[in-house]
Amino acid sequence: MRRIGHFMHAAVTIILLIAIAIPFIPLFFSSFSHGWRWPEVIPHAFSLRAWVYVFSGNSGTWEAVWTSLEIAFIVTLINLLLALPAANVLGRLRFRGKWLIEGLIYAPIIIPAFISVMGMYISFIRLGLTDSVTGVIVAHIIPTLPYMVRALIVSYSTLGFQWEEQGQMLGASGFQRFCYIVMPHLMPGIVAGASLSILVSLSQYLVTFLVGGGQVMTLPLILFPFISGGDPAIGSAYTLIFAGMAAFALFLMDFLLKRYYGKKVTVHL
Amino acid sequence: MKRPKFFYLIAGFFILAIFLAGCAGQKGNEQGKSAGHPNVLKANWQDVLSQAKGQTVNIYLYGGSESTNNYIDNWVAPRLKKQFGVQLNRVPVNDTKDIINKLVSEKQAGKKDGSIDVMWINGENFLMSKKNNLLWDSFSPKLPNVKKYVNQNSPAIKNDFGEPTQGVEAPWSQAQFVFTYDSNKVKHPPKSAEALKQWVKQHPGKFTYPAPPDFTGSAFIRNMLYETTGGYKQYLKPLDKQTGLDNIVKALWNYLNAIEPYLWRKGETYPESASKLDQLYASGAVWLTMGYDPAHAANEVKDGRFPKSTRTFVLKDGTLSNTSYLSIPFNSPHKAAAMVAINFMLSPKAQIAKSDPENWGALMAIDPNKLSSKGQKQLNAIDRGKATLPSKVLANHRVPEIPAGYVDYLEKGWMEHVAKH
Amino acid sequence: MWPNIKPYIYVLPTAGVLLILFVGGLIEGLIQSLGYFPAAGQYGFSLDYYRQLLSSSDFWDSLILTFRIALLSSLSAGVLGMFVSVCLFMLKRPGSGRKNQIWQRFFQLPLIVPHLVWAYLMVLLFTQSGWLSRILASLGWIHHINDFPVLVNDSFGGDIIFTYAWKEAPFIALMIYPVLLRIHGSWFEASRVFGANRWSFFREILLPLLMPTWISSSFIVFAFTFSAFEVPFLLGVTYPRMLPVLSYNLYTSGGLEARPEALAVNVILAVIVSILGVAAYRLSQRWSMDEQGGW
Repeated sequence: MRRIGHFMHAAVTIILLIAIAIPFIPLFFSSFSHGWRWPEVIPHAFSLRAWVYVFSGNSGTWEAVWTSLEIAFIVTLINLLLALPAANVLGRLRFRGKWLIEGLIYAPIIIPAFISVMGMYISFIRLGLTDSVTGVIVAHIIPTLPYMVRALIVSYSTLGFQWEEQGQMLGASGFQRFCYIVMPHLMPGIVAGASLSILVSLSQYLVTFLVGGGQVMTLPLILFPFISGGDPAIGSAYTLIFAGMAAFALFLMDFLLKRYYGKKVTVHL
Repeated sequence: MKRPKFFYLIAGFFILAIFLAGCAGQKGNEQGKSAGHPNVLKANWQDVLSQAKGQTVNIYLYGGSESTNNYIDNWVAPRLKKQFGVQLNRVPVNDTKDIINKLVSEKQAGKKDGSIDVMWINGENFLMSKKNNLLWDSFSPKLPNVKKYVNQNSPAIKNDFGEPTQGVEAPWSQAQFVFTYDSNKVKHPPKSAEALKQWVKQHPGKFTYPAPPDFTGSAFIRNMLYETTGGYKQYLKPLDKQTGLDNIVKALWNYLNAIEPYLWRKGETYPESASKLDQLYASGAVWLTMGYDPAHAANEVKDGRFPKSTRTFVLKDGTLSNTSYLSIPFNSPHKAAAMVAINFMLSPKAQIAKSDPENWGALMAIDPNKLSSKGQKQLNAIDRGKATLPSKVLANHRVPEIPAGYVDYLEKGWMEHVAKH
Repeated sequence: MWPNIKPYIYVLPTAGVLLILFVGGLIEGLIQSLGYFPAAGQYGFSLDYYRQLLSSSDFWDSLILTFRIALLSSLSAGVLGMFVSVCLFMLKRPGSGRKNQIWQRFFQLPLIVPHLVWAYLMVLLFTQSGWLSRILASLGWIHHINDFPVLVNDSFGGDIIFTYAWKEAPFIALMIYPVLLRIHGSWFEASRVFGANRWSFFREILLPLLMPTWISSSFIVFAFTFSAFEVPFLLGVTYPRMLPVLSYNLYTSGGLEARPEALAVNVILAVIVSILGVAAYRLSQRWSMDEQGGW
């Protein structure tokens, strides 16, 4: 029985590994290929052409990566500031009309943002929000904010009030209580919410495209013409960069938050 | 009962705020009618040049082609900056329709300072822009290089898919439909619809075409329409002035249905795009492919995707050709710089460089006969690769595009009479 | 008095932003879909655009396709996600927490990868000239590029379903794994005493426990796939199109005339997914009153 268990475990692990890792192999080959004809499993010739193009100064890759990350992080920061007070009461208090607020907050998770953006596109133009990074940031708040609130609610609901009350009795100010009691406890929720917020913001194509009007070039916008029928090698290279950027952004955020707060937690709790 | 009231008050306040914002925005833009720059058109060229200096031009064009992007970024932009002090910023788009759509919205919202200075359009998109008054003014005849090097009377330049350009766009590039074949497998490429029919019967399964409304597939059936119904001249008038069209076009449907059983997969399915057809060709599943770019096959050979024995051919009675244009939208904030940029892109140097496959490999829009002898020499010295036909052969086998209205009619007809047949 | 309005003050920033941006956009879209379109000089209200839409076969074909793809995607993602998490749970061995953590990270990879990337991976894998077809050809199982079935850009939507199943299965797994973790290992031992095997343990104990979270998270996947734009835009065929793509195509078709129709598609889309969302919420509530609630 034990050996069967072992075997099953190994089998399932390997299958999952294959399912997750294998799709990346042709992507990798394709980005380095020089004329990859059917039925070659591995290209007969390799070339750095696609990567040279992608990293050439004029292709705008770095600017796009920077713009994408900038927007994602600013959006996430705004979300955090907006969501903290809301999650505070939604996670810990009962009040009238709460279900309505919750409904409002969760709705954008399933109703896609482009519906709202298309609806108010003309107003966006009139308010001067199109063709600007500001406008794109504003538009990205719609699909990302709900995830942040959601994640923080879960953290707040496990926090309760007693820790803060204890801190108060020991003479901690409101700010101190927030920094040393609330924040460390919320950290996993913040990391989760920020991860989702960053990811969702990085993946936006249509909303960025509509509001940014070509003046705000994020990576998905540069990538799209190449993967929808353009040059497959360059499309693959961009796709790899896109995936890498998402992973990097999450790693960076995780690292920074944990690094910064990890220290305080160990000292004070 | 206090709490809910308070809550609804807030909710109501916000909904009100939205409406107020909407209304305020609306009023704001009723004022200030077209603040255009008519003076730019009246100014002499020196003044335009000095106005343009230091401005940035946003050029919007399809972004999925490495060679086009490279040409704009690495050839045009640095020279424009150095010679005229104009910064060129390329904005890649996935579909030219998106540009038109953006302009339609901006027109609607009354946005006077847009972000697009130059855009690359033709055909349907031009028609749509014209209908919605999205284009600025008749600037093209004012450009020195248009006056000098463009054959403005040629019907292929004057009309964009049958629609008079009236100078609101300047010709930039040309494309021509060509067929591609593997010379190792096909000794005598079929150069007419009739020959093609014989050929597919002899080689069942080795030919197919992309399903319209794919751009290339649609062009193929247009070309076959000319072939099977006696030339392009009868279609020069607009669609709504045509009588008995259904009857005339029947010959085309009959032809396409006659070859269908001999196509790839017996015509049960068609590749849905030109790139799919190219893949079938590259893998040897079919022996012919086609495209609306005479240099495409040579580029594919260069990149190793097509076999070295690949060659192209045109039909005896000519293949479709079109001109694509650069235009300036109504709300471009840098019209002088846009004119300078377009003028530069129509200079012999820029056009010759554009036709070099090293840079891009697209056909010139200016008239080769108007070039200086030095320019002509340069043009002839370009190595287009073995797969690309000489310019002369292409130029001598060229028929104009059909007016834009027909395109949709034919695509729907194909769906009805061939696909569902 | 003051403490009573405290919650409303606290939720105001978030609720306000969402009211203006999200609800405001929906309302503006709704108004325009009813034909009130000052920018195009239309001031009357009517249901013409809805009538036009509901009487066009394009719309119904799109709706049916969208339903089918969303249903198959969420079902396959649901089954796959359930399978993976139950497998991982049943086969979980005690100890090596650090190693487990690394593994968990790895299995979250599809969550991290953006949808567009995942969709393109599917293109490279499953097109007729894709990698899978190449592998089969080099194994000698197929001899012609045409022997490989058309999976990408087919009107069945196989590639879209693949993409979502692959991408959303980890999401479902992630949702139900915490529920599984609360099941004590000793339960399994106990059930063994009463003669239950793995399968009956799964059926009798795990399944009922997982059901609420599983159903509500599958509903969310359904709503998401029903209304997401990017993947079908990249992978879909020209006809019929999924609803979000239909809306986008109507919106960008160039003329102003088609815009209210596009917005009408959006309104219908929003109504359908809202109903689904409420259903998911109700289900998760009814099934588990004291559950933390899946999302």
